[in-house]
Amino acid sequence: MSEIHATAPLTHPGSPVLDSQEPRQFTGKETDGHVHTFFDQDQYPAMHFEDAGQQKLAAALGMWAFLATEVLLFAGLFLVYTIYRNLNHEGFFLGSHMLDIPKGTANTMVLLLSSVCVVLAVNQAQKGNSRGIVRNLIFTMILGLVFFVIKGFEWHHDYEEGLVPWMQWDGDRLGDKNFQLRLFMVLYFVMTGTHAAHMIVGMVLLGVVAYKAHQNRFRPDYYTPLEMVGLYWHFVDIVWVFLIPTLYLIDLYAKTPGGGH
Amino acid sequence: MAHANDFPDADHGHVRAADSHHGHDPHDHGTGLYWIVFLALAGLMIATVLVSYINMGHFNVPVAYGIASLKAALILWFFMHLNRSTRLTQVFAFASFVWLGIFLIMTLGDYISRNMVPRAQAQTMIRKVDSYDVVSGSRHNKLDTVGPEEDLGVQERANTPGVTEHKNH
Amino acid sequence: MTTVPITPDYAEPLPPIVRPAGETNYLNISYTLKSWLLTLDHKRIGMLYLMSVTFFFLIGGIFATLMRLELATPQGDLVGPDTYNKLFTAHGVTMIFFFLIPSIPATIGNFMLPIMIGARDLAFPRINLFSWYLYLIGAAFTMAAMISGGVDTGWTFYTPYSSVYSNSQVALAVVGIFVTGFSSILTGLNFVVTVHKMRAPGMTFFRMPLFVWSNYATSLIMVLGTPVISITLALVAVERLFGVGIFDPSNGGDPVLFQHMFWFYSHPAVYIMVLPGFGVISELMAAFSRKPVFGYKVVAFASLAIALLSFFVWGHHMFTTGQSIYGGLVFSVLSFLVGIPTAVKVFNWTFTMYKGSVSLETPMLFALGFLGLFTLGGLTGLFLAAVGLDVHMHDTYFVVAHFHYVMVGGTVLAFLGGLHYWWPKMTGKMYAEGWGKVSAVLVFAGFNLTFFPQFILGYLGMPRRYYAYASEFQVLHVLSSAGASVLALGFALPAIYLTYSLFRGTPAGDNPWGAKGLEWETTSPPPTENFRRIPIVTEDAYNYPLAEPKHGLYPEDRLIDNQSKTDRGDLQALKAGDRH
Repeated sequence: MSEIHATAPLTHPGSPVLDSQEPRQFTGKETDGHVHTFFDQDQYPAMHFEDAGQQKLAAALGMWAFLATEVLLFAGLFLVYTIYRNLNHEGFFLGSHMLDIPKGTANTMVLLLSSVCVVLAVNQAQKGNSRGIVRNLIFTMILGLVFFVIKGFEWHHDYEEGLVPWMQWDGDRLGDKNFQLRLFMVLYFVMTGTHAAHMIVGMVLLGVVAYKAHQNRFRPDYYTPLEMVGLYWHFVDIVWVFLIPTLYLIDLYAKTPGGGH
Repeated sequence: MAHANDFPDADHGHVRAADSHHGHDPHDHGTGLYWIVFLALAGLMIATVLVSYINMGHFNVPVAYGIASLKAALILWFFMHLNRSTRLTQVFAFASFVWLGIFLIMTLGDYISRNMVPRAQAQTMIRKVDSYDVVSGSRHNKLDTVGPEEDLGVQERANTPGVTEHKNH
Repeated sequence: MTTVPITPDYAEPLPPIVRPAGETNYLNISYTLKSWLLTLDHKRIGMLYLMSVTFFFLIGGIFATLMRLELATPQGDLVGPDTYNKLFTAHGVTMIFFFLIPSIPATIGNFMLPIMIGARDLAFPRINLFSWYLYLIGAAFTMAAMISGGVDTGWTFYTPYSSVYSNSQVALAVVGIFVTGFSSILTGLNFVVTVHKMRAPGMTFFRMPLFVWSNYATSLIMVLGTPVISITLALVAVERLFGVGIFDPSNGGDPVLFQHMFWFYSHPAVYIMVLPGFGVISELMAAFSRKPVFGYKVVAFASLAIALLSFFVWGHHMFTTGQSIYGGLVFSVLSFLVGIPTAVKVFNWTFTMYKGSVSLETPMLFALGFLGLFTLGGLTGLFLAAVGLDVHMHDTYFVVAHFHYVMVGGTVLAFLGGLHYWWPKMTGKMYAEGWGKVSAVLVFAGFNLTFFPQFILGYLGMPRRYYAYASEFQVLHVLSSAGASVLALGFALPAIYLTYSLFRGTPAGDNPWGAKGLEWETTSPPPTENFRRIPIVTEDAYNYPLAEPKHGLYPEDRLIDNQSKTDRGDLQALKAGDRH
């Protein structure tokens, strides 16, 4: 009882012993009576990190944890969808058949291509080519805009058909099961709308990062913001990959009951 | 507690060998792989549209989501660079989908079993419903004859409102 | 794994810290408003949170006071039914979303977690400050809803009442909670990354204090659970604002689905509220028993086990809502399982005190109060997890008493205990110990007087959320209201003497309790960078010197125990003689 043991070795086998020099001396976040505050430019690595590697890993882990929250945000929508689809087969079937499959497919291709552009931008950053980063990010943003244009045509078409539940609703095609189609269209707009909101945030972030790249702020050993925004953009892409079979591709082999489009 | 100068060469627990090379592996600057992955994704995209035109009965939905998951996995692994992330990051990425699964499965479990009623309770429910005279149609008369010890046929239970066949029989 | 024997510190105490003249700490480094409102220092953000949650505790307390006043008589004398509905909603929403959830993690956790693992700050200081502003913005929305007509749905916002029928300010309140949810997510995210990536050299996972472990488990729940409530409440808002039925049965929706989604977060949320409290109690038990926490690893893993299990039990809130019978059965069994890691913790705290040199200072009094009240709250939770019993107890005062025993008896007492324990570190000043003890006793007595009668009320069939009641319940209700006034006094006292100590308190010194842990190794209040130089950790948590071996394992102890007091002098002489 009186003996005290350290239960873990002081050095992990295989881990590099930090430089033999003393740990970095900190004078704190204050410099000449000035306290570091929100809008100040950060040093790199930031003062509370020991080194750049630690900061980079922390940022990556934080971003992935954030993406985990985003997964669970969409989980709620997918859960609602799954349960209502099983309770309201006919409405969801009809609703899915009224969507524009070629446009949906084209949009998927656009997003997949934009994902490649982002990953190429990261690749350019690793090579230290700022112009390459900017070029690829601009491609990405253009593809994002194309997505919105196509999506806008789709939404406009739905509006003209009277399929927007809270505007002039004209979707009564199922008799006493009209509410089912209504429910599908509500979920369709909520899910694509939430996705579109994420796209808008992503576009803004891409713009910010492109501006930073334009200012030559990234180096081969520092492009963390670009990498994080890239992760976010890929995540938005993944959501769309799941939205496509969820909304557009329900039992296309079967004939549409009671009219179509 | 001892202070820094006692252990000049002590390990800094948060810095691992694999981590310090994260992101700038000299062999990783090629872009060919990204285009291959893109072609695979595009192919899968076309496949998922085509597959939905084939009647596979109950398998349409699992196949559609299987393809979507495969696409997501490709994006996660190659575009989001999980292939050269730390194990911890991979765990976090995986955990979010595990929690998604918990959420979906536990809730769906309720909905799937919503109309299942234990056998003993089913019998009392049928008698009760019968005595309050809310069951309509020909079922009504038939159920009248069901006694407490009598076994209900599968057909009767399946067709009785609120009582579906229970798997355990 | 090799074990390295370490010379215990107490063999040779460290030389006293010599402070350079004019040394700064995080408080006196700058006095400008900007340096507080735009600060990136986790300690200052923790203090900002402390002020905010205290304010909302006061607001929530005022709502509670009005309710207890109304319930002193069976008739509706003070307020009518509508106002009463708005009162209990406001009380619930304020206390849960704006006090309990951020109470310990965002104040004490924000302040202490980086120091306890030897870091200079949380991993993302900007996000930390941003989350405080999100919290304030969310609170502003929700308070605006309370002022401009109130909300009458209860804090659970059950549909379709909240989405279709209620005429109150549901959308505004829901938007506020949506925003605050992101504040909670960001705090959790920050903690997770900090624990993984910012530990000092030598600070392995199993050397971390249990407060850090429990906050880590809490953060995992925050990160994985909170987004679900955000999207659920967003759907309610969409349903209200656009008039489309998502959870409305007349439009094909299912209200029970709302409850599933709501409780998927809101049940784990009670562990968000109480797990950090567990961490505080672990610290207090060790510090005031002068012993390591009994079964350190088990307590650490129990936190993670609770966090994991918390996601599997939400259906026990829905036994009477038409959920499937089998679903209820599964959720019931899983809910019982949560009792295991929780009981492990309670037993281990008790064993920590066993044969320790327990000293009854204010924080320890709160901790002991916690132990009793939380155990009672937890055990009554098992009543409610039993499907058959819950049908009887559901929506009665029994439930009200149960969760107040857990949330007030658990979280609030732990919060107060932790606040007293770390107050000297946070402010550098010592509070009035005598008043502290008075407060701890008042809170304990007042709490029991308030809520124990509610167990009986509930069992007798008094439903919750009623502004008037049958006159046979009056005695118990009056007891409860009387207890509430004692409780209010118990809560008011710390606010007064702690604030007083800020200005007139005696300087506390760096380690007034003689406690172990990195936070006690730095100065009080800590400097902005927490440590002048990053410590290298070489020992386990709670490495208290076992001052006197009292367990009778050593022959000389047995000798002492077997002899009368007068013989001890002889023994001392004997031992002294041995040395020569």
